[in-house]
Amino acid sequence: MNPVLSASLLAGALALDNRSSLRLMVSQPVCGGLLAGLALGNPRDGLLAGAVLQMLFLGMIPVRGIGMSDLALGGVAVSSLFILAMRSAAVDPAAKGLVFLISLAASLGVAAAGRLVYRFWESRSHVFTDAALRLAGRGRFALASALHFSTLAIHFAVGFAVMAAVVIAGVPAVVGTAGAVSGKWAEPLAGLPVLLPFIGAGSLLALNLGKVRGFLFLAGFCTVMLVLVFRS
Amino acid sequence: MEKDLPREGIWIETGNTPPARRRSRAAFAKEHGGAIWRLFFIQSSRNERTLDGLGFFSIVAPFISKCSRPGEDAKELARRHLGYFNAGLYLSSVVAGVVVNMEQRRARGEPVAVERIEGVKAALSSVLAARANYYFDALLVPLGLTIASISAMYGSYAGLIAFLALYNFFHFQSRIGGYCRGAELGEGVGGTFVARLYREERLIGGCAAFAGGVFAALLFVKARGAGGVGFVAWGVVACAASAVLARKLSFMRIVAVLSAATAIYLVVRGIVS
Repeated sequence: MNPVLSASLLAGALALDNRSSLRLMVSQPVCGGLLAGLALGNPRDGLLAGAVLQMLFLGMIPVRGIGMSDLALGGVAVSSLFILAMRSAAVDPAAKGLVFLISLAASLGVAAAGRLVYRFWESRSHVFTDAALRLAGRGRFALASALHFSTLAIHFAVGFAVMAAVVIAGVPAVVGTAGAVSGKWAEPLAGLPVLLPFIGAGSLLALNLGKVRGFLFLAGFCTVMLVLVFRS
Repeated sequence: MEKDLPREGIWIETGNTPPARRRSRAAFAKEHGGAIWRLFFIQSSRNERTLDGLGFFSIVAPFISKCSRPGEDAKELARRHLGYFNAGLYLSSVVAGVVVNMEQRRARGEPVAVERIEGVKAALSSVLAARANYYFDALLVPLGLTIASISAMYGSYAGLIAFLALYNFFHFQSRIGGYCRGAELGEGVGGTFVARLYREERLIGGCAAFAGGVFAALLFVKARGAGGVGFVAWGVVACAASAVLARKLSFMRIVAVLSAATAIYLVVRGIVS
């Protein structure tokens, strides 16, 4: 199947999981990245890209009304851009780290934009409720209920359209940028997947700063270290 | 009477009186199947004005014609359930089940006032939403995702599968089990049910913290293997900066700033060496 179509269909399906409250969690970046990798024929790189994005946001929990970035679309975006850009003959394999960095930056933009789109949707989607009220007033309950389910198509369409645009415009942009700025200095960026997850570890630490949970966090840390000391 | 009732799974240990009118599962599924699948799309039309009001209506819609009393306007009943509704994702199904139960009893002629239904709906919504959201969003999901991330670090899918299995076990128990419980017991569904459902809360929280520590330690191990002391030192800096900034900046800003800083560190380190 055409890679643009594959990635877009997957993004539409995952947007449905994320926004409709089906919430099977397959839309988490680590899962979405793997699925994108499977769809594009490179599950290993898909899992790597999705997992790094996931690890960056490990400590992000939607409490106290904080807005959630659209990580479902971000996960598919980072994997698709990374895999498709690396496939291009114009990209030097040594610039893998740079391609990953640009793909990640683009996916963060997609995740932030996805949040804005959803906020806009929430501020306007009362029109469905208003229409349902009018239908209920005429006794057409099934139709009023169907109006609610019609919004599923909108969530799918938004995910599909966003990913189609991201892949169509993003892959040449990532390839072009990587080709233009790539050089010897870009090679050390291959260490990014090792270092970036520390950002997520820090946010996890902040999440577990209480007495008991802080102790357990430290216990988990020390257990691994002790095992390694005794093994060596 | 109580001894005759089959007791298993989440239907037990609540301490509540078992439902007097317990029917077979097949009969229950036939009556409520149309509502149960709708539970999974309740937030699809979420909006700032009525939040999940339309989603809630879509769940009770199959019962509206059946639940209006003879001579009573079904349209009025529909309008009541099209109003504001906010019970979070996971236990809104309990509220829906309770409301369906009360409306059905009212339709049968039992003395259930409309005001009582509205009161129970509002009270349960606010109480249950906070409990379920905390359990899932702050404990279970971070635990599962940490396990999935640890496994993904080594290129394995096992952790991801474990996460999906663990999360969806509680997820389905809350949503389908919660609805069934509410539809059977009505407003009699007590806090003990929720306590039973989430009795592993402290255990899950502890495991999440422990797994977080394991995750951090394994990152340092990988960093040492990949880039020696320099990577470990940068890992400490990134970890500390993220922990400190977590309460001051939005996640997106923290991630963007620290990712850029990490990339610059790698480039400078590469040039210097």
